[in-house]
Amino acid sequence: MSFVNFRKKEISLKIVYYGPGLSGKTTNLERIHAMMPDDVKGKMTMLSTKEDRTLYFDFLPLRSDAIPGFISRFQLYTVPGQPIYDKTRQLVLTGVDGVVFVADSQWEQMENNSISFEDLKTNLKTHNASLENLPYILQFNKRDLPAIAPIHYMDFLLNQGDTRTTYIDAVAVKDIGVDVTLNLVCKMVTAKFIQDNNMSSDNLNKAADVAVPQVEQKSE
Amino acid sequence: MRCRRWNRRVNNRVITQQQSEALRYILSGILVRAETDSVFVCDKGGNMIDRVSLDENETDVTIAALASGSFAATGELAKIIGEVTFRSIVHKGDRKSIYMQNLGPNFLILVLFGNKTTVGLVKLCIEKASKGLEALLTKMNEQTAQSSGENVSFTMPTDDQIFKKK
Repeated sequence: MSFVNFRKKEISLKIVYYGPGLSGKTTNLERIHAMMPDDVKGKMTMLSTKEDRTLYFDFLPLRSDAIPGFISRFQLYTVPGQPIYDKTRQLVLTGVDGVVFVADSQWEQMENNSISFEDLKTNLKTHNASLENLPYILQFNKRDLPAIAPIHYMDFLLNQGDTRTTYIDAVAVKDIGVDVTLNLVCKMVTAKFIQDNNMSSDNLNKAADVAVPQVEQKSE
Repeated sequence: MRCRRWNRRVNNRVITQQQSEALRYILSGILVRAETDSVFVCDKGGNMIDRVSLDENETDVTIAALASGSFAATGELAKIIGEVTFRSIVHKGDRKSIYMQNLGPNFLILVLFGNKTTVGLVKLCIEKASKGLEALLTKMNEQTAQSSGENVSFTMPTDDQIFKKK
């Protein structure tokens, strides 16, 4: 749920990186933290187990002047991917404005991708939200590994029906596709925010252009 | 192939300049009377609504995110033992402590304090201010950018890249 503070001229928007365990959600945030200039990023917080698996969530605040006249604060969160942390994933989705679903491209992870994607839809329902009214994109990660599923197969598996969206192929550990994903989801979330809050038809038309992106493969 | 348009479903909260000043006035009262270091109001999604503090810094957004996460996790503990929720939580440190309390269903108040005050005094000051706080937050929760009366038109960023690598 976005938040606007007119005194501080600030808009806060929450983006959650969702996906199965070890698909690269935390790696995305780590790489974003490493590649962003200091004046844009805040402190990255990771609530992990001693084995470096996400226990609760990772958090990275970013700021930009994306919307003229306002400071836009994008709050990036990850969820723990392991099945036992279902309740935690549900809690992290509270007030979400946009989702990046990070799928693992390895053949052996296809079932986990599907389970996690269904889990996302179920958990959104508990917040009266759904992918129909939430900006979200798919990131097919680990494209550099052997034994990976073809893009068209993953697209068929995860990207069907009314909620069809843009996908991006990525190798997060090598910074490939990470900033493209970030910029695209931030722009979609910003467009949705403007759609919801503006009465001006000119602005609505510009936002609608982003609201209907081409479904295509994007990478660096 | 074209992608779907989102359903128009307004999903945001707005605080006007006037409401923000009123909120800060109440929070300042708690800060001074209870002799605390910082008083924050955040929502349960982790957004910082506003705060007054003896020293302001960028870690405030992280504190809000972690506090809402901590409160949510503790709320699940409450349900397991048969409570609807816990009304408040205290984290006691050697030099600094944190007190968190529910403000209605959607918000939290968070107080950072040192050894020169007590949890009891913090609770008392919040209790005295809570009616005004909840009224203000309820009003804020029900308004959108259009209904808030603020004259503003949000425009799309012109640059394709909102964030550029260093």
